[in-house]
Amino acid sequence: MEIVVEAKGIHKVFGTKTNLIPVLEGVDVTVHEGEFVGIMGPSGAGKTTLLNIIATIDQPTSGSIRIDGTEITGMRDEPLSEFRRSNLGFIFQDYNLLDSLTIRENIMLPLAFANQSYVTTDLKVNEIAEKLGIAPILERYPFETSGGQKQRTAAARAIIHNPKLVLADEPTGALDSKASMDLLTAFQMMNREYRTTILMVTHDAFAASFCDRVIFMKDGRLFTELVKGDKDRKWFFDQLVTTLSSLGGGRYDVI
Amino acid sequence: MTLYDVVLKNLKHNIGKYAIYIASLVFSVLIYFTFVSLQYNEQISEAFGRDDKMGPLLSVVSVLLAVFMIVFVWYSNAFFITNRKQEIGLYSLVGGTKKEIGRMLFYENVCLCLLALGIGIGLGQLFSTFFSMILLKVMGISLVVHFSINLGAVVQTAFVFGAIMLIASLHGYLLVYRFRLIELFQAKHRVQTQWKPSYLLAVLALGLIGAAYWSLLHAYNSESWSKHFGRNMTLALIVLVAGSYLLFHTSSSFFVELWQRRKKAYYRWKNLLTLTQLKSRLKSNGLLLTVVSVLNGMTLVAFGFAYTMYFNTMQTLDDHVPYSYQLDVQSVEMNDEITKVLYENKEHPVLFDETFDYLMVPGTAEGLDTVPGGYFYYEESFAVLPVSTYNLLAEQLGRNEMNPIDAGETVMLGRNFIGSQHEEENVGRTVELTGEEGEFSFRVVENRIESLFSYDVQPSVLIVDNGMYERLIKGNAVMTTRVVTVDNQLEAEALTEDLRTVIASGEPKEDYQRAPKVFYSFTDSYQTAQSIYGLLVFVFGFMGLVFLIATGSVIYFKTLTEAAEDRRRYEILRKIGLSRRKVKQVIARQTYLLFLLPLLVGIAHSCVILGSLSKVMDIQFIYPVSICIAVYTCLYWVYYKMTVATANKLVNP
Repeated sequence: MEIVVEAKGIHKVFGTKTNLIPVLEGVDVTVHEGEFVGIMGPSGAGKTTLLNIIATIDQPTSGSIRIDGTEITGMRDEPLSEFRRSNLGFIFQDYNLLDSLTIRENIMLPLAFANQSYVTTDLKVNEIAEKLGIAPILERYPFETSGGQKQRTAAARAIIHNPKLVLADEPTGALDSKASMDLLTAFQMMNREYRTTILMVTHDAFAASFCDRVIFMKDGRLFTELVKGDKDRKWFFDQLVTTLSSLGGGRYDVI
Repeated sequence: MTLYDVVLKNLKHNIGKYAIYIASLVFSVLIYFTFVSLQYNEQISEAFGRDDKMGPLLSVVSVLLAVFMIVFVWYSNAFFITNRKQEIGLYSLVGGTKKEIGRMLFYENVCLCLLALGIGIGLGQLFSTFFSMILLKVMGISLVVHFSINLGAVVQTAFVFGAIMLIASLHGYLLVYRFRLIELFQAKHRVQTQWKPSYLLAVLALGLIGAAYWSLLHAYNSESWSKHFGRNMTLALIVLVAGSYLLFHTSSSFFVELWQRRKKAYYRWKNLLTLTQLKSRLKSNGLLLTVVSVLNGMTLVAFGFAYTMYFNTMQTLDDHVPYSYQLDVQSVEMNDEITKVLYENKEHPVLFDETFDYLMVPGTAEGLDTVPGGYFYYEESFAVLPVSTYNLLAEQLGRNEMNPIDAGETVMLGRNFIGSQHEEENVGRTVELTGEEGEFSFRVVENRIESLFSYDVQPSVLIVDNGMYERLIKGNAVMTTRVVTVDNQLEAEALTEDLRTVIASGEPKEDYQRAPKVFYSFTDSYQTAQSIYGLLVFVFGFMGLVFLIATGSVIYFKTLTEAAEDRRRYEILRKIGLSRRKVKQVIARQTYLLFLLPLLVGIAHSCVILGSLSKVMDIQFIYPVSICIAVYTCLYWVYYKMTVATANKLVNP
């Protein structure tokens, strides 16, 4: 299988010269095409920083990242924007939808920047909205929809342009269990039907149990990795919880 | 859907945010256009007529207003774009390059600016008519102001604003380049840095301000100030500004810290909530507060000064212009004609009418401490009168009569229009006067601060013994002048016009070449003074209003942005049990200091500067300046109330 993300020796240090805080201390991550990978770990482990670096939103202090074979560290702003436009999709905890646009318009925003034709755009939006169960609300504005619908809108926006990789940062963080379930099912569908590669940061074992593989982080390093294989989600969930409690030294409360 | 649609939709949706931005653009266009159209207004420039020295003043002010406009537009543009960080971040995230986003915002801004230009000029048209009326009113000119559209003003405003808006739009374009995507996601968990208060800087701030105050207040009897007034004033102002900046930026946290140490006061909930935030507010807004306080101070000084001049001149004009009319008698026929006009009018009965002689005598003033300006103006001559004539006039003017003086003695008369005078000036010094018999030396025995003529440039007057006067007559020009005072002289404009017609019909005699102008009237002087000082008051008042609105809006915007950022904080406060009323109190308290501090510092600075000027120039500022400060404070209070209400609506729905 083709490698989508290949991050090697990622270091990230925050702070000023006198007060350096290392956040990532040599992290290696590899994600293959079509994989649905989760990143878990206690607060402050560096999960979000790692995601932001892979998302090209933040730069690593040292290390190399190749996405779909392209080295993205040290890329200039202009090509980086174009790279993001065609290769990456994003989903955040707080949706980041534009209040001024309808759900439909929000979804097609990436295509607007890519100057896609009107007809293909409409077809695509309708298709994806149908799959994600938001077709009936396409003409509404974000404030008229629920959190779960907003997040599925964000998911639709993240995949509308067929990106190589979708990055999700705590996508279920603000959702109730029903909405979480819907969203994660949608992710699974995206992953299976469109062969979208998804990298998701979460602290929720339930969300992580939808992944094929979960990477655990602690104190800026990779701690361990769990693979679901052909076992079921229930089994995987139990495994995750067990690992988490060992990781947090018993202080990590998952339930 | 194209990017154009996105922008348009965004505009429609966020019309509120845009409205504030457009409003500030419109405001700056409005101000500038109103002023420029006053400048171009034909009725007004005709009304100035003789005083074309007012032209340059208006030009300087319009440049100042343009500078203000640059700052204001620049600031609101930056504010507007920074407030849209999230939107811009999102565009960037879904693949917009900075070039595309920058261009999008640039076009949008150009459209907004054009819109603002149109509205601003439209409103300015109405305002300028209104302001022309005020201007003419304070200048004492009665004219019906016509509504007229001034193409010159429109073109100049469009040009200046166009240039500024282009610069501001480019600035916005560049701002987009400076945004880093990560900031969008980090803004939420930004940690405020703590700093240690410094005794040293606190002392330094107070020291700088104190030193500037001390120097200003001792300016009136300082050698250095009387020689280098401009230089010292500039230095003092720089030190003041530096001190104020330190005070706000660095030392304020120190004083808040001192307050916090008093636990009894600190632990009261209101203080606890206010002080912690205030510490960071004052520091991060240090520059803003300094600018605001300096602008406040400047406005108060400028307006206070102009208003005082207006006020004082109108009050003391009869000291400088003692008679209703002063005419140099040219011929018997004309004199009769004048008498006829004077006594035939019924509204203004003649109170007194005197004709007297005086001499214009060339002399040497080297022996004097201070040589009066009038001496040089009248070709190094003094106006010489005998004691008897002086006493005659003094009786009519209600002044103290003079005892006979010795042949070698003289009394000097003179009153400066501006500037302090010492009673004992030149007393004991000598003056030489030249007659046909040769040089005569006189010792100044007394100095009286009064004027004996209505001339707009007063000659320096020497009163000499009657006998000496007779001897000086030989070889010197004898001037005959007639002074008249009528009842209710302030409203004697029609009479003045009649007299002027009579005077204009005659030709001035040749040997009057050294003598001053022929006809002086109180009404003319009054009108001239009113138009000059009225214009000053208007111009400074106008600028004061501009600065007031500008500083007020800057604090307003600032408070609202911060309130929006703190919305969650207030939500938490409410959730942990603070009532809405109390949350409002917290907001009011924080806002109140942001308004009060720069106002207080501004008032303090302006009072010291005006106090210093008042001593140097011997003018009383207290009454007019108190009015200015009161008005300014009231308007500021209105702004404060408005800000609290809006902020409260925002965070405490």
